[in-house]
Amino acid sequence: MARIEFTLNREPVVYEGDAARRLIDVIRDDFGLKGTKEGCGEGECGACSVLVDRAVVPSCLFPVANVHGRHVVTIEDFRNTLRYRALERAFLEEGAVQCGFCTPGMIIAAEALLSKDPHPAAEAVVEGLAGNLCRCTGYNMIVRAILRAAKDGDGLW
Amino acid sequence: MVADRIPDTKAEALALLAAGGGPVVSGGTDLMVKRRRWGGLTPMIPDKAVYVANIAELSYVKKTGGSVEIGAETPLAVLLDHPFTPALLRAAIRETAGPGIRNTATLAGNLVNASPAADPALALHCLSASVRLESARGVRTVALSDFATGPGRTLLLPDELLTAILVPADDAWKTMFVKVGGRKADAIAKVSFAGAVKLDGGVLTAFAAAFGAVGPTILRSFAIEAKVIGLSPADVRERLTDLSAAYADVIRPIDDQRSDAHYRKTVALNLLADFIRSI
Ligand SMILES: Cc1cc2nc3c(=O)[nH]c(=O)nc-3n(C[C@H](O)[C@H](O)[C@H](O)COP(=O)(O)OP(=O)(O)OC[C@H]3O[C@@H](n4cnc5c(N)ncnc54)[C@H](O)[C@@H]3O)c2cc1C
Ligand code: FES
Ligand code: FES
Repeated sequence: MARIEFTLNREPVVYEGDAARRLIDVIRDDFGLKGTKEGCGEGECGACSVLVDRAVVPSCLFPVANVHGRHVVTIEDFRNTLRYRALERAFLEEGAVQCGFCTPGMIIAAEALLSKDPHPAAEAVVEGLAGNLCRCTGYNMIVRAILRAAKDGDGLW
Repeated sequence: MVADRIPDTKAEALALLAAGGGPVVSGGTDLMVKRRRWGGLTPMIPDKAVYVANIAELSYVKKTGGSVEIGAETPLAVLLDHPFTPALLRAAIRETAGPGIRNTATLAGNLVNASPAADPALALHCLSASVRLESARGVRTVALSDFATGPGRTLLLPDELLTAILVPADDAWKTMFVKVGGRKADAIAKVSFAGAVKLDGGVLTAFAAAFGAVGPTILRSFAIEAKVIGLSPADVRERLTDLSAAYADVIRPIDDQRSDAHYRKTVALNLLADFIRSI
């Protein structure tokens, strides 16, 4: 039984339990944050993406032990930012959301990308989304949406 | 020490391992998949596991007298951007998984996992890197060419921690990395190749060719490499047929669902030929 202290969506929290649990299960089941989705459960689809110290990681492969002392941000908190709103608007305008299952992960990956590279070229966006699968849109709309958010939201990142 | 399985320092980690703790968990990108259970159950990682990803003193890159030393817990994403990362290793990391996995995966995990298809490991083999293994009993350094003994098997002992990767100077090396696989972010290489040469005064003073996914471990033939040293690039190109034949004898790929043996061998030899023509 491990005692793990970390920051979750800007609140200090304590987890007590098995250190090997997957971060996604802790976020969804213990903290009731259901916006983070599980697709493949094997690191291949990115639906479970969260930010740990501002870097995107697949929470389905992340042992909760490894968040000790670190800051986790999920879509529930990112949703309250201007950056989120710029991304949301661009995703809707470019038709980048169909079934929506991949969208929270795509938005988190886009935030990680834009916070490192606020004015990315299209290739950098494709590279930044290399760990995120979408069964519906064929990616072009998503890439266009992120380029648009970078432009329309200039100065936010 | 916080939770008793999450040490803050190397010394604490070694003490836990000496007391029978283990396995070591770094990023968990291999272990969490291998030990996965379905239906939201916790992966089968024992309570005595030791989580080392957060040990700050094992995350660094430094230059010591031309060679590069990499702390075993440095995430691949940090190495991708670091100015001291050898070019061949950077090329391999660029072909490894997607950004999310690279933010948490480590070289230690990649090397101890000992997959013959691993990308960063292939580059490190080609660069004649070695690993530092530490335990409460002491420290030893092992050449990567000796470290992996089979798929998933290495010389690492249960109480040892891989703490650093040592890469000899690669200045003035000409290198090539090629991975033939499927979709990039999740592709396990079907065949991969890393080559490195050093030219001095019109002759090759070093030549290394490493093949991935063509046998139980990453393959390098020091015997064949020795035959090339001292030749001019034109001489080497002239001997391409002989060299290919020599490698054809040592490359013994396995058949699996990803690709058949004949295909793998043909592609591996084509990649070698491309490299030799480019010297
Ligand atoms: C979707 C996906 C895509 C992938 N794509 C690629 C790819 O393209 N190329 C590639 O090469 N790999 C790929 N991998 C495999 C994996 O990400 C890498 O091998 C990674 O480098 C493993 O590092 P880790 O820190 O996550 O290892 P872990 O899972 O933490 O550990 C792996 C093994 O190493 C041992 N270990 C870890 N650290 C130490 C240490 N310091 N001392 C002693 N033993 C240690 C563990 O006990 C375990 O046996 C992929 C994985 C996934 C899930
Ligand atoms: S659910 Fe984690 S990557 Fe697919
Ligand atoms: S919108 Fe359906 S998976 Fe991407």
